Amino acid sequence: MFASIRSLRPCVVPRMLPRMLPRMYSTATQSAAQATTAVSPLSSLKINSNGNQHLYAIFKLHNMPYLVTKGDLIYLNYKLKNAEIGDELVLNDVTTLGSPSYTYTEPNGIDSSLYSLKANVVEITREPKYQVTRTKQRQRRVKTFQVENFQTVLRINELKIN
Amino acid sequence: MPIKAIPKISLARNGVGAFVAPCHRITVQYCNWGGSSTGLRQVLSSGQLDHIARQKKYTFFEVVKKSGHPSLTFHYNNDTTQVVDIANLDSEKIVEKLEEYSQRSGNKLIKFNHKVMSNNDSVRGIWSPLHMPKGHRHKI
Repeated sequence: MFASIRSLRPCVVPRMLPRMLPRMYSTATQSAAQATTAVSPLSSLKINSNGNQHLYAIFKLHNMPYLVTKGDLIYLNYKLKNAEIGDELVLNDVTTLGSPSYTYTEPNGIDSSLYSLKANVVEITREPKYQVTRTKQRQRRVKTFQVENFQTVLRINELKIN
Repeated sequence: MPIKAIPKISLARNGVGAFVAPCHRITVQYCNWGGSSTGLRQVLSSGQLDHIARQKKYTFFEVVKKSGHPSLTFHYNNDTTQVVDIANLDSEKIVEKLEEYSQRSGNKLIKFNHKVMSNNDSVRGIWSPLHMPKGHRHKI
């Protein structure tokens, strides 16, 4: 869909503020520090995301990354502690935010004030029951265990850049 | 030339915007005489069920006195019902069953071997080797 316009170097280019426009008349270049302090590092990502519609995020839950867009279901093969259906989770460990042309990555986590990513606990169920057989050496008996693990389903209900 | 709208099927996405609890009605059936209903009778008389019902505001609880083994019937939004046999279970186990089945959606249990289920198109699109710039194309 957007493969042709995808930039090769995924970096966020700081945009110029309107109040800095008079600078255009001079030959002096802006210092990089000035530009980054004034503009959010995600501004070009926000403009490129078609009003937060074409946006994805990679967040981490128990150090496991999940790539999500708005409305996605996340299947966790365990019971999330202290969670009930209808609870809203604020996911604040986001490592990557991406739009069709730009990606913003910070391996240690993006500042959570820059975006908002929320999920709803939709369902707490189990996986279908299956049997696990275990054998021990020099033992004729085969032990069978009934396994019916818990499953938590989350739904992303908000993904936007502030 | 008339303008044609792009047809798009609306999807039920419970949780985006409002969340509606899938289990809307629970029928608790017990027998006043049988020994297999002892646990459930304890749940009813101790006020534990009232406490649970107060917490689950969007679920309607119905208590039915009927001879036979006790059971819990869960009615879900997708027109399915799930009957759980609770004969001879103690009160703790019954409360556990109540909590577990009321948090389900009524759908069939599935083993999902991926992390994320998505109905959206990929943000980045499908990768194509033909649309890469010349220097980056895949060569055989």
